[in-house]
Amino acid sequence: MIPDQFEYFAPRSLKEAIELLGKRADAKLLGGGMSLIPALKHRLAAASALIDLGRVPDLEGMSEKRGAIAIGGRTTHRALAVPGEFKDVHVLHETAGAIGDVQVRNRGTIGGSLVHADPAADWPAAFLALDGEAIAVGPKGERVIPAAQFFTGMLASAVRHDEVLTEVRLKVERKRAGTAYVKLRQPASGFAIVGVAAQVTLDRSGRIERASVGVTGVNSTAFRAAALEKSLVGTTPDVATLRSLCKRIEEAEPMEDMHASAEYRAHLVGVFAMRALATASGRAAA
Amino acid sequence: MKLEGRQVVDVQLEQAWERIVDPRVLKACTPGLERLDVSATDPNHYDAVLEVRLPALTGRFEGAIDYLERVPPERLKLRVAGKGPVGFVDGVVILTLAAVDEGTSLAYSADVQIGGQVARLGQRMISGVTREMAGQFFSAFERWRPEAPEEKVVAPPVSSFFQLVWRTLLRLLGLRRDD
Repeated sequence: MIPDQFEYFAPRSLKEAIELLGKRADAKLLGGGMSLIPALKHRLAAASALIDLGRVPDLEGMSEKRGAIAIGGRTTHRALAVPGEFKDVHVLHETAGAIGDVQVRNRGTIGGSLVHADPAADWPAAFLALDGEAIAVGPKGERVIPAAQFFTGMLASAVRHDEVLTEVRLKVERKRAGTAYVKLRQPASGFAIVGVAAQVTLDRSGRIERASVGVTGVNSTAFRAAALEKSLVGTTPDVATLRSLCKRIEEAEPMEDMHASAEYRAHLVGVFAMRALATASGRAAA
Repeated sequence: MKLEGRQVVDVQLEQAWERIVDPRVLKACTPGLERLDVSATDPNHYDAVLEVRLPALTGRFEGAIDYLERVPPERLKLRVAGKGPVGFVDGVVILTLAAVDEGTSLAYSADVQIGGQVARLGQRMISGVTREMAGQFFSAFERWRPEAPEEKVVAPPVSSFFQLVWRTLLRLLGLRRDD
């Protein structure tokens, strides 16, 4: 339970943080530390230096920019779990509020969660379903990483070693649209055994015009249920229809652990996709 | 715990068998396999050092691989045992090869005991990590060439369609060689 030795840096600007990253090939950025610190303590991860982003300004908060919600990379889950300014965007506080426990939500950050890319983390589902974008700043400047290219493998993201994820952008539909996040929680860790985020837009007659579904906890990386999304277009979102369309999620290649077999997870994805879509559709119609 | 998977590689069955029992292939294609020494007295016993390295997790295991059964060209049974600071792994792996239209189907089924920190904290990741490592192994296995036996075969990086098109274009123009 005692980590190996590491140096600690607390830069006061983004520039300084990026310079430090460039100098140390095995340094790690410290956000809330809710995954990194336990991994270091158990010596499942190693770093010769930690670069704490806590004193870097302008990495926290939310604002709306051209149809997208921009969230600072260091914004805590707790700040996003409170349905304040964006209380109509249910997926936001439902995801944030479902993470871990109160201590984890108080410390953990959205950027940290995404970059860590835990296969059972909650944010990846919403990030994918809301056609998210991540802003990564490195020595050569800023670049935009679309959600579809963000998760490159188990615990691996497209953010490079010398980059800092500064902002997360989520595109929210506001007209005849609704969102939701539902999950089956592993009671001890709080991680998602299955988690599904959905955004549904209805047409004037109440049929689905567009649906997007992000799934976490199932495959070794989070994914979009693209085949399901396609089959939903033009249908009436009643429970019977949703249930039959969600029966099989084509992209699921479920992992297996002591909590859930691959077969059980494959079944659960369908059930939770149905629930997320039913809730999102209900909100879109309201 | 039980781990299972299957992949089809574009290699003929006999050739696939020759490769799978070749320690040079095992060494070149297994991600993170730092050392593999064939025992001087027993050709079925290898000493091995494996480093599992994901961006957020690392684990080093020292141990051995023993071939328990070789039924050419279709079945291989081996015991893999290793331990390190983060825990231990001990299991039996059965590898079944079969000729299919696209080449050879390689199916693995393993019954593994895993203990220590890695099991306590990483249990939910094990099947995902195994699958990813197996995927990397099989794709390197498919591209392995005997001419450069000691060279580490690395799986191609995940790249977007446009990067792929761009690289192909450069290659066609003779501006870029495969690396």
